[in-house]
Amino acid sequence: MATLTPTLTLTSTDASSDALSITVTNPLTVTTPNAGLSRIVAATGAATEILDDALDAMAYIYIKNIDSTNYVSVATTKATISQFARLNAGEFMFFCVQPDAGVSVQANSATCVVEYAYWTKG
Amino acid sequence: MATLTAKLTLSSTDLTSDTLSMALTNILTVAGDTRIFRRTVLSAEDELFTDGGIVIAAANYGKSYVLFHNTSSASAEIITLGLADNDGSGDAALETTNIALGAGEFAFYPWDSSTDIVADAASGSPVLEVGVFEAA
Repeated sequence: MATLTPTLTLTSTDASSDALSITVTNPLTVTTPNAGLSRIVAATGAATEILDDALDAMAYIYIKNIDSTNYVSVATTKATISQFARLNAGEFMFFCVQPDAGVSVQANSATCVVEYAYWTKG
Repeated sequence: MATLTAKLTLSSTDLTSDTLSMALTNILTVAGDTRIFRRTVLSAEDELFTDGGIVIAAANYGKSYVLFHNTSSASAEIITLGLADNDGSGDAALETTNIALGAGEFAFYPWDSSTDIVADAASGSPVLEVGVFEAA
């Protein structure tokens, strides 16, 4: 077991009349299997799985679209592809995946390099 | 138009032999609707009666940056987030699960706004904090 500490900060001075400053942090207990910082090329014609839906445990996952132009669709893969997020150029996401859900990425108009890492919840 | 700065850091001293310390920053342009709110998440059985499982309705937003934070401190109060109505029945039941948030856990991602986001509690009635920032 190990501890992974994610911290998210959202700030804005012009999204509302009052300055916005939200910080969320939570030390997470994680275990194997995990994948350190990795990069793959997301294709356009089919989804590329980055977290196997055979993993019967929750997993924390980070994904970033490294491409400078094109977007990547992100989906869970259990039974059917269920797209729920779109990463534009340079955008990232962090969430905890349901057990057996799996995660895949698919580029829209041209192949994109996608960076990711995941850690199984301990 | 406004600017939302999202910064994510991931750190660990015992995950691998090498210390993990990474920081990502996105400067996001947002416009349109912005909402930050809290709501109680009920169990699936209760939601089916109230038809109130929808947390964010796709009809109300374009692509948006969303923050979900399970504010509960009870380990059994896991909140599951997913998509509604992929069976075409027209209800607000959670039918495709994507994300699980344990006590204190959060998720941040750019929601594509193609389908309503529905929440379900494994037990109890945890409070979910939600931030929605519609992309420009």
